Amino acid sequence: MFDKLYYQDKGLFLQSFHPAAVLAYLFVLLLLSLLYDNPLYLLSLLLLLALLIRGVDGFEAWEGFLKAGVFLMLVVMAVNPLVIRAGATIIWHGPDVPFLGRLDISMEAMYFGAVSGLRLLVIMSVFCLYNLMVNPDNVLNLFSRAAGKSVLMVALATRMFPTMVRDLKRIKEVMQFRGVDFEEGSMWERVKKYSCLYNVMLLSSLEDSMEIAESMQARAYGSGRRSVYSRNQPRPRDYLSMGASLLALFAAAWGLHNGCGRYAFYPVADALVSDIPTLAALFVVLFYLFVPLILSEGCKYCRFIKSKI
Amino acid sequence: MTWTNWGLYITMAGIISVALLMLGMEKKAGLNARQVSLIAMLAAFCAAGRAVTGVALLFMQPTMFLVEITGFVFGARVGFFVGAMPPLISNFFIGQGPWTPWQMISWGLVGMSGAAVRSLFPGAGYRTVTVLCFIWGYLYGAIMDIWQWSVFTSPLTTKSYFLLWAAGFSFDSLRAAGNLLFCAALGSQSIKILRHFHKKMDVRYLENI
Repeated sequence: MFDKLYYQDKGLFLQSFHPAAVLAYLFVLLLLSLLYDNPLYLLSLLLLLALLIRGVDGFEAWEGFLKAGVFLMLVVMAVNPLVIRAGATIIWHGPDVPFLGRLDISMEAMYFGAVSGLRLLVIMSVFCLYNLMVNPDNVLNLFSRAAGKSVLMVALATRMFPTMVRDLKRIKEVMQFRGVDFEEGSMWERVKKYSCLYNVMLLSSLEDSMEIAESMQARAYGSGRRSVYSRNQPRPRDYLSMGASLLALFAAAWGLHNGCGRYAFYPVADALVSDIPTLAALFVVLFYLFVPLILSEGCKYCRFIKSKI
Repeated sequence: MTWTNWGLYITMAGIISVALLMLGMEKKAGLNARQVSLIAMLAAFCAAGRAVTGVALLFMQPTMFLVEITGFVFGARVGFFVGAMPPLISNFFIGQGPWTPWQMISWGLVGMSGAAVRSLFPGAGYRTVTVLCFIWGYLYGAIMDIWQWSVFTSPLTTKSYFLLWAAGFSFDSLRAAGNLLFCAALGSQSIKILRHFHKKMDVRYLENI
């Protein structure tokens, strides 16, 4: 059930980047999605993300992510028009409601709600890409020097997660073979049966944890300062991607400083493209953000690029 | 247009806070192998409960009470770790997002509050923990709404926050009711089991006494 959403090594070019390069790239995408107000900019980011997700063969997982975000998106889109009174184009005069005042719904407030929904889709897509593009174990390794024990605990727990789900099914089956019918009886009887299942699960998990601790001690865990060995060495593609991410961030910051990417919704929404610099700034930022995709396509069709990166 | 900046600040504050908290707790706690494996196992247990049954049981979060009890039995640091890790781990499977750090902080606080109850009311039993779990059902929603409010709502007023909170009230109530029911049904035996393992772990070598 969860396999599609979790990282799977498919040997794709976009999955071959160093985790630090991927984290830097995705962090810039996340920052931009939170900084930009202009719907055109957010839409461009979404299109870029769609292309990247296609590059990691993850449309199926993306669909799952977007479905999960629909409820949150509806809440965001519904709450904004109800609370915002700043819009000038009133499309519905509502009744007076205690505490909230007069429920007038403006076109601008609905527009803002829709753009907030778009922002949510961009943010969810960034994290969908994270799930598909980088192995979580490699990301954890990156932080193992700074917080070794925390990383070890997260790595252990992540490894135990599927085992735990399998154990749950196994213990339930054993209990069913012994004559326990989980679907039979009154609500209280069923609660009692499930409570037995829970007890067995908890006890067996904690016993397992003691065995793991003994095994760790037998392998000299905690006997001295831990050593770290990393097989992930950065390659030219990683430097190129990280450099492009930084340049995209600088270009975006410069653009925002000069008003490119900012957008006023109230009292009347701005034009989507107010001037040429707005488009130019978007083009520059997108160019840098496209670097991993350009490298990916370059690798497919050009042996020279493939040999150099 | 300062609202987007607030969204960014709140998200960044979440990421930095959770990183500092985990780092600080790790340095202070001086965890041994038994504690490390126990924390990892309990975190995996809670994460599995959150991911597998969370959606099926209408977001009732059937393992939040266990985090509370862990803090109650093992103390604040273990409670924090066991609380902070399930959102991170389960979100690897059900969807990471900028909400993850705030979920980690909230769940971590659930674990720490269990330890706080034990130190403030040494005679407290599972009934006190159950009441606290019920309160956390609403408190968790209120904390997570702050993140959502700062990122997706404008203007940032108490009225807009209240409306957002009201929109999620039914889900918060389900979570609170779930916590109450699960803790009432399973809390007592969970405390017994965890106390048994707490004693088992509390090994002191003769030369250190």
